[in-house]
Amino acid sequence: MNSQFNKGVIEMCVLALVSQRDLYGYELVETISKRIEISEGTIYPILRRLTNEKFFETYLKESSEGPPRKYYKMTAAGKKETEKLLSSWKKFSGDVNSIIKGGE
Amino acid sequence: MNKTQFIEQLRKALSGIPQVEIDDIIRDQEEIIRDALAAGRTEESIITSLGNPTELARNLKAEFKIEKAQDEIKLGAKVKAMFGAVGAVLVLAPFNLIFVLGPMMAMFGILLGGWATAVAITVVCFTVALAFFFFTIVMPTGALGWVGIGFGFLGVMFLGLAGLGVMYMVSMMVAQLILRYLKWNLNFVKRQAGAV
Repeated sequence: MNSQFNKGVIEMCVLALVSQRDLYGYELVETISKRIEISEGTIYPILRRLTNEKFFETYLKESSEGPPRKYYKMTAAGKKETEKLLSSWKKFSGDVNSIIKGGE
Repeated sequence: MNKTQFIEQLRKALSGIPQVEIDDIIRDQEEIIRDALAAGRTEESIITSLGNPTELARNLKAEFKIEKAQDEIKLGAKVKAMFGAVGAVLVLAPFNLIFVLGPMMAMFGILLGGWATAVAITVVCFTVALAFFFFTIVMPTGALGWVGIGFGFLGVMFLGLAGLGVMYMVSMMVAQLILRYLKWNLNFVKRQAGAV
């Protein structure tokens, strides 16, 4: 996929996933890479930026397999941003689909 | 490159930002590598996908410096931090020089003009007002009109002072705008580089 297109979409996927429940970095990589080709190196800068923008808060939680993991939790500002992005995405993808189908 | 080399290079390239930030970034990278290894990925493929550690560090540093400058609330500190941020962005993409430095210098020129004007008005009017008051004291007779002129200049001096206040606010706003542009520019550079 075109990388310019990809970037915003992945960011939106990250926001949407974290809005459903608190997640740690690799969980996000695994979930998204089931469908879209991404790597560890893609997700980290996005997580860091969204945290800097105060869309996420982070906390460390013990894991059974080793040292604690950093979990990302959505803030009120993040919730708002996610809703905004998702609604414009729905409109955009709906419009594109109509155009592809050749409808009005 | 193996895991240890990657972490070492990253740590080295991150120097210049606070140690807590560096430790936090290293901790995050180690967690991702650990989880990816546990998921059955090979060390080599993980390190490759994490990208060039020096490049990654430059991006994170630039982002950190912009954030820091945005959080500064005093003009002097903000401008200083802003130059640090500009430097970090330029290291990342030297061809950016003309897009970042050009407009910035133009804005600085205009701001400097504004500051100089406000300072000049304040200082000149204060001096002239003093001169008129002094004259009134030295030659008390028939000099009452001059007191009025003196107060007139004093009034203009306060306009100059108000101008200084306005310049302070405008400068803060301009600095904030430049920082927002830098952030946008940084994301744009990243996209151009093909990094998602």
